[in-house]
Amino acid sequence: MINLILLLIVPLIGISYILFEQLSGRGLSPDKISFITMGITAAVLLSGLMYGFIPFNLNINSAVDFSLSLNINFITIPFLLLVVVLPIPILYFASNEIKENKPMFYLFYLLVYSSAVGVFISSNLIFFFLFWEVAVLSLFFMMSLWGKTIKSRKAGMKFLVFTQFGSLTLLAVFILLFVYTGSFNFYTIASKMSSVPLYIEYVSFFLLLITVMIKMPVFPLHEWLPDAYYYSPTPVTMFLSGILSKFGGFAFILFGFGLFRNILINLRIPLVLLGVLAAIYIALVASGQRDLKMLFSYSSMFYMALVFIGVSSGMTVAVSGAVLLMISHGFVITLLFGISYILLQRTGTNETGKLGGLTSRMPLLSIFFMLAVFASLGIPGLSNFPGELLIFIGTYSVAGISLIAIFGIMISTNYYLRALKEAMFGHLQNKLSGIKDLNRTEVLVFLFISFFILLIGVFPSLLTGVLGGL
Amino acid sequence: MLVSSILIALLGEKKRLSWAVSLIGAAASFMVSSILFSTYFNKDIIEKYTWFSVSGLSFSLSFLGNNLTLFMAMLVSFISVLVLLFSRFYMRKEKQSRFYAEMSFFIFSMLGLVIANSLLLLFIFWEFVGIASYLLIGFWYDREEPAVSSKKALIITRIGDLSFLTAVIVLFSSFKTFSISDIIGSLATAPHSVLVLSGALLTIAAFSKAAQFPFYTWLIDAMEGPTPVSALLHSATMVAAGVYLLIRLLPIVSIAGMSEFIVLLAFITAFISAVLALKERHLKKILAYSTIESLAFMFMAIGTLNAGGALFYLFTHAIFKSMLFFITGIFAIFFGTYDIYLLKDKRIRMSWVTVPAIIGFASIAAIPPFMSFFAHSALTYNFNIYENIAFVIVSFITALFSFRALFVVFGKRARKPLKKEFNTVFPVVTLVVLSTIGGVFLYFFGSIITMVQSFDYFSFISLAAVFLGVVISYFVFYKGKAESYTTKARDFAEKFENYRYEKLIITAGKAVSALGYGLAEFDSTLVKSVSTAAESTFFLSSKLREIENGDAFRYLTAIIIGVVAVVILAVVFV
Repeated sequence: MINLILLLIVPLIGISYILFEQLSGRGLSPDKISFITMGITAAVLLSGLMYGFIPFNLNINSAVDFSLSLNINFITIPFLLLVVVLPIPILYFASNEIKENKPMFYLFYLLVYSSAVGVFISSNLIFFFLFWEVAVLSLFFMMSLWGKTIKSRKAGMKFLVFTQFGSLTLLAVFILLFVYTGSFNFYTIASKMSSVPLYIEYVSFFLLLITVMIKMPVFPLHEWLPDAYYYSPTPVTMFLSGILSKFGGFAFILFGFGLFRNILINLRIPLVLLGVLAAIYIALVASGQRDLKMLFSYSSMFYMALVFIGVSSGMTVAVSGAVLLMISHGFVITLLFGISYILLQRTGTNETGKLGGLTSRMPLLSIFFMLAVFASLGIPGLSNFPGELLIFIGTYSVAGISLIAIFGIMISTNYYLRALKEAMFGHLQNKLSGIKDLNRTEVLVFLFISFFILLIGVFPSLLTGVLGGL
Repeated sequence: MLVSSILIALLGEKKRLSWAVSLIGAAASFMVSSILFSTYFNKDIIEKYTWFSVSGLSFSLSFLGNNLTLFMAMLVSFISVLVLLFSRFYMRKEKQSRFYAEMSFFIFSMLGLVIANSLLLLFIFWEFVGIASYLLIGFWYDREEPAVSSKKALIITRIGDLSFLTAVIVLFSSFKTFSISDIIGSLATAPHSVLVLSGALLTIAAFSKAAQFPFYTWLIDAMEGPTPVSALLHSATMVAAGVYLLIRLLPIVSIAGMSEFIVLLAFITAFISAVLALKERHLKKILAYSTIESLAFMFMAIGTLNAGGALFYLFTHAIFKSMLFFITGIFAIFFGTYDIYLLKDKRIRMSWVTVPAIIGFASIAAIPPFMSFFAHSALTYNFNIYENIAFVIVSFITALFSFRALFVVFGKRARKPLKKEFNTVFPVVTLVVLSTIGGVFLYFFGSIITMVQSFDYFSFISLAAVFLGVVISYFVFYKGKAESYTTKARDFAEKFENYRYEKLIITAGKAVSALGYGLAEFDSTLVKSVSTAAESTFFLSSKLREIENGDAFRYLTAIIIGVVAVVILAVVFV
């Protein structure tokens, strides 16, 4: 049996070790420390999955029910897998991209890592919020301090302003819940939900909705995302899209579906409609993008809109589909951003029109590119398919309009294939003829991500099996 | 099922000897499916696995072995063996391993598709077939045209894929099972609207995969792929998948009332493609149009609820069409051109391919001694009078274009014979023999699927029309007389040119992308406007920014102090 606190202690040791190294000024480089730390954490997670976890509880102040209590709830484990595993390949891109002030960067890196783990396992809402904030703030610093241009700072500021607003509404939800149930513990609140008056439930649900829509993000509140994704250093973009956007979905499922289920069910039709609109809108906007990184940013929002549809339906099947899609999307989008990063590095541009015919120079990269595109298109056997299938099956029975979103998949087929064709196929441009293919490390990193894409695609039961008590 | 597992194992191979491995794989699956076919004749065997299950709904995958599915498996693997033999000849200079890996994947998916019993599994293999054909059509990735046409193929078939997916979702939601046999067994219990919706969606799916009227353009462009791919794609795999889907799900389609609609569209398709084929110079594209037409024949049979006729014609068509593609491939390798008028100057009459080519083109036109004549008679069994008349007209044009191609290509006597080679001669000759004596199969076919065939007046009227077409094309294209007729025919054909239709599609595509760009503009304005708002915040905080001096450790210290302060405050005061 593995105590959950270990998942937090290991990264904290890593952080303090980096600090220590920084003070003593020698020894291991910080990226190696981060790698070892994350490796150990992954090992802890693995052994935990094999032998089971035991919850952890440390009471700090019982008057406000302020305690560090960690527990596995009904959707934690898939997210835990994502958040523990995904930063390991991201580290490679970080070590490539980040040259200045390394110790600080990896400090923040591990801080995001541990707080993301913390968000998914803490059942005390104060700590939930604390971890949530630490993750957002660290990403803000990573974004604005290591971004290349003045625009990255602005983007960082925008990101902070937006998400802080979302965090405040979330805090308001927690406070409302505390006022009416007298507890910050998720399980206590869940058992006392009957004592919350209906209008308070509605108010908190809407507040939660704002948080979710900012965080995921869903159409009307997505304005921070294109800037933030585009101008951040690639590892930060991967963090944002692979992990941070999942916070929104996680909160939506945990609180929206877990606590306010009745309201969710009452409002399901307008919410699904909103999701469908967002999906179509985003898919159309994405087809107007000429830059790979921007295209992937928008496509990322498209899948989040599908997740939103799935959760809003309030059907168990669709919610499990949403979880599956989020996990899968984390891996797929990281692969896509990795590809766009390597293309940018090698060719100096990310605009599909300026690339072309790269397959003959970069056969390995094109294999991964095709894999990622096929995964995004929801080809069976790759990871997006089970999630999308479950979402649509679940929502169809209560809200047939959700099927309109399939039209969005059609549009996304168009833009993905266009990007693939323009960048990889056709005649090779002369100035690109000296380009090099992936090196061995990059292949390993991509293989690592692809392994999970295939694993989830072929054996979705691995994830659906651990979605206990949904 | 053994068949698929063998081929999955096959997919792993990459390097040397890939040809041998994939050939052995295909041959083995042919053997296995023949053995299974003879063992399980007239029995239904279902193998079922649960893929995953969520809250009481289990997503099961099952295979069905009965006469129909195993017969199709046999056909697919048989054609595959021959195509792989031929590829050895055709693909000599190309990157072998990639080609054979993708080819095996293609064959594997198609085999999986034909023996699948669960709609979900059928969909999975359906998508695999689409992806494999995308990869194979775009095999020469460093050229511009294959890249464009593979993208086009995938986008158009994807319309069908997604409507199939929608149909699967709709059917699953109402029947709570994926099993095709269960669904068909309990059709009566379902609401009518569900069946109509799913029937319509399935029809769209089948039409886009089988390149019927609104979707046919991708198949013509798909000729950019290597010829063995075309041979496989046109005969037993990709396009046949559309027909096969409707054969399997015929009860749903007929209850949904789609049959008249299917027949109508099929006639439109047949007519358009026959006329367009008359005008085409590119030999492979002529064959592509004729494939579209033949598929339209199958859909006519399906629309008249004559699944047996459709299946038998599918079998016939697979045999003669792959043979014709082999011949085309031989021309391409030896002469480097597909243009029929250029081929005419190469003087290839009286070489060993002449007789097979005559048989092949005669099969397109359904001339009696060959199998396709019998297939036509089975096909038209359920036709009413209008359908028969339309069919006669179509057969006339068919004879015209197929013999035009024949007479033009073999217009001049050869000077030197073509080189022979086992890999080319064996597949062609096997198929020639089959399509000559194939009429015999008609009498065994009744035990595979219920089928009635009849020779009524219209069989002979259409036969007469065919002969008329042959005679006309003999005079027009072989003797080179009546030039004015040729030009007239061409003018006529040009009216049906698919560029108009293409333009419509392109306009629609442009409209979508214009909308996309417009929305992208709008979105970036939105993003910028929010930025402006953020900027003002930025300005307000400019005083505070003076602390920002680049020493990141300070921020960290500040954050840690802040967090500690909050915690202490919380603990002390509350």
